Amino acid sequence: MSLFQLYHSCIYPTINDGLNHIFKAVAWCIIYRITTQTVNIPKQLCHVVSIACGSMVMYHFFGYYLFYMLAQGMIAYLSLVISSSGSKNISGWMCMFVCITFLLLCELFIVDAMHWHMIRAAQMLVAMRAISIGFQLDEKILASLPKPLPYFGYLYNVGTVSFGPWIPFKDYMNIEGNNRSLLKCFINILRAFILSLIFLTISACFTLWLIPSGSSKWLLAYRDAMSFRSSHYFVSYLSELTALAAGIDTSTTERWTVTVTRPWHIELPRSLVEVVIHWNVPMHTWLKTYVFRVARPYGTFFAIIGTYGLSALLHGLNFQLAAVLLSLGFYTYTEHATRQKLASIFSACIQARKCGSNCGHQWKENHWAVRVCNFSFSLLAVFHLAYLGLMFDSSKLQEEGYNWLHAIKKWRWLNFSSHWIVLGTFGFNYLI
Amino acid sequence: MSFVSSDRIAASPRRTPLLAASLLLFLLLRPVTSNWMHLGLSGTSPSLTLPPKAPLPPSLTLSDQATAGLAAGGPDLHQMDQHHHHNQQSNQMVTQGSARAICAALPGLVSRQIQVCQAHPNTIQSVSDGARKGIQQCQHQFRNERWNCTTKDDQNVFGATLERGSRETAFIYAVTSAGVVHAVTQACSLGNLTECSCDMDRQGLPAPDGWKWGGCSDNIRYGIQFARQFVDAPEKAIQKKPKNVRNLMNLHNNEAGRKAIATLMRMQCRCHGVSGSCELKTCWRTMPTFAQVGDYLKQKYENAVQMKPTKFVRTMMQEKMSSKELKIQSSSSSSSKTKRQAPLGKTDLIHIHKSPNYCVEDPKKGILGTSGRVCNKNSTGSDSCDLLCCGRGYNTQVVRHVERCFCRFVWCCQVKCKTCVTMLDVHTCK
Repeated sequence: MSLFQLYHSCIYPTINDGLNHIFKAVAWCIIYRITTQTVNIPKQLCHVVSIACGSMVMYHFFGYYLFYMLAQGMIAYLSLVISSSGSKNISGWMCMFVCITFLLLCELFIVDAMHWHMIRAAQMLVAMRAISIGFQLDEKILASLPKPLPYFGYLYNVGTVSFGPWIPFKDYMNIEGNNRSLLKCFINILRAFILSLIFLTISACFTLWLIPSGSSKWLLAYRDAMSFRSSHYFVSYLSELTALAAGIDTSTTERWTVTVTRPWHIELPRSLVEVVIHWNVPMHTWLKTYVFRVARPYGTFFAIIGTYGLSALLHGLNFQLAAVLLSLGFYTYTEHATRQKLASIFSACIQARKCGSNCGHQWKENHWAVRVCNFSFSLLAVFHLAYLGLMFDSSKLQEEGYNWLHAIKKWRWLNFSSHWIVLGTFGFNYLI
Repeated sequence: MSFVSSDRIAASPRRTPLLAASLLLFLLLRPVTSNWMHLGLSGTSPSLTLPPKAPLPPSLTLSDQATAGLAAGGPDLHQMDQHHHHNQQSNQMVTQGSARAICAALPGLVSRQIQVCQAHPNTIQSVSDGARKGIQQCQHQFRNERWNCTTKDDQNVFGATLERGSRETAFIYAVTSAGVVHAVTQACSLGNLTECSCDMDRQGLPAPDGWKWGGCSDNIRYGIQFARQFVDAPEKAIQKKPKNVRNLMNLHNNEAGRKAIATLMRMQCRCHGVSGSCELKTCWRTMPTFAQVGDYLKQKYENAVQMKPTKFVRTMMQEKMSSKELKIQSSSSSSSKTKRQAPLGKTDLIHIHKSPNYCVEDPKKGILGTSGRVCNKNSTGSDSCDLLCCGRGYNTQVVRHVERCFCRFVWCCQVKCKTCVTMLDVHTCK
């Protein structure tokens, strides 16, 4: 198929579709921003406008299923009210328990598969916001439980309700004071918009065109995984776009940067640990702050597996996702431990994360041997990524969520090679 | 081309040769109306002579030279083809007056087709492309069979095969109809036609499962509508009621060809969302390649249903019962005595007569026979020398085949090849 034909049959309809959705989301963000930030209106009204615009966006994407999100928000608030009126500091844990129960009930009994797969991500984000408020109450970062209006305004804020990103409560409360250097804001909005469209066409069209169906097994695996990753970048940049358009600024150093994902760190990664960190920066922050640190006293291995397990639970009881996440947990732990040991044995900077300037190793980062070693670890990580990501393909199951049969079939097609390699590495780790 | 009236169709086997002969005579005596299929032939190698779906001679979108050539009639069709290739660029714009004149002058079109031609002069070019595609695909699919879809150079493309009402006739009607749909839809997608545009009623239409999708579907609807108007016109032009079974059969097979393309249209969608969920869906539809359509129709040809042209069948077809309700007493084409009650699908091909024996040459029936065909000694399919030559045996000729081989690239910048001489055995049927 020539480029011209590709443009007509694939790129044009895909971008048409994408723009349709993007404009609706961004339009409501801009309406919210103009209403609340250009004129001086009372705070209560700001929250109401936030909820209203958020509901309009949710209705556009999810139809009447937005009521499940509203229900979850209300149930979480009830649990927070109940637990914060007690004396013990268990708001966070109780909220987490309630939210996960609600998610599991919805997935297993209440909502049908296709629609649950549609609203799953937004439900997870609502749960994450509620749980973060619960933990912040425990740690006394928040003095008292927020009133209903700010709480719901935070939960359903138009800039973050549809695709994310997760923002902490304080960033929401600081929205109104943000109106400086608007030119930079506009430039970043444009950058996010263009990048999202580029990744959309890569995901839907270019991967299928570059690697046609007759190629070898591993090329096809790389193609499907690449398409999945590009789709993730598209959604991440889209979320960045909506957040910026709504006036949210989470940056600490520069103005108007909302970083959700860093593709360059994922495509040619230093290690899988880096992939996990840069895949979704806000969610990584959330997991690190509210799950990993809490579970760390019980042992690193348990903490890592617990983090990934909780992430899998939040995503819903989807076998494929759970399998990928738990595998990732196992891979990252193995990789981190092995490379740490190797780095201390050889005294070289080949750890999973980049060495600081005072790492105490003999062979530093720019030595050619260290570079070669890190590059080969990168290639191994790319291989693992292709293996893990290829299950999110464009088959019929993509609308309903992939079941366990699909996952096992895809991995068996590649002979579970990646799992064997990691098992070998784990054994090797114990030997040395 | 007129079709035999219903009472003649119910002839017994003994009267069939007489019938065929009288039919042929009848056809010869009529003015030669090329069916529209001949338009496919006047394009490139296969003659475009398609039955009355008058394809425009390639010169339709034409310059004045072509107009002059057109007026000269048949023999100049080949010349016009060359003009056609020359004037491909200038093809697109046809003035109203010239369109009227050219359309009216095309042989073999019924009045409804001439109207369609005059209303959509640019689309007729695609009709001719489509007819050509159909014929080429037919010849490709049957290249190893006894009947290999050869065309004749006159304006009646397929000769008596088209009149016979056999399985081959069904295939021809279906594949040419599908070719028109394919060509018109492709021309629309590439933006070559001004009369169609992306299906506007798909934009923002909520699909049944709640997704809203926009995007440019391949404009298959325009292609199907146009093909229906144009290709079905000769069958529908017959005024007398009840329509004979032959007309109904042609209409059904035309629709089967169109439905084949609609069935094979694939919708490709990609879900987007956080962590692989499906919050956003982008979709696009792709046309199947015409080879896929040809393969599909060939399958349908293998399983074509023979129908007895009884009054019962006729009334049922006329009432246009839905395919689920249509339970037809049909005998399976493998001529067993069992009758099966089966619903007739919309993409099934139907035929009335059995295929004749294509082994022996019979000019009266328009059968070319298989002598002189190249067969393959080592194959086990229908192009093996046993089956293709019908047991008559084959002649073997040793042919000296000279070709370039072991080519190397020499710096700089030549390609040096050696010559290989191989002796090939070519088997031809007696």
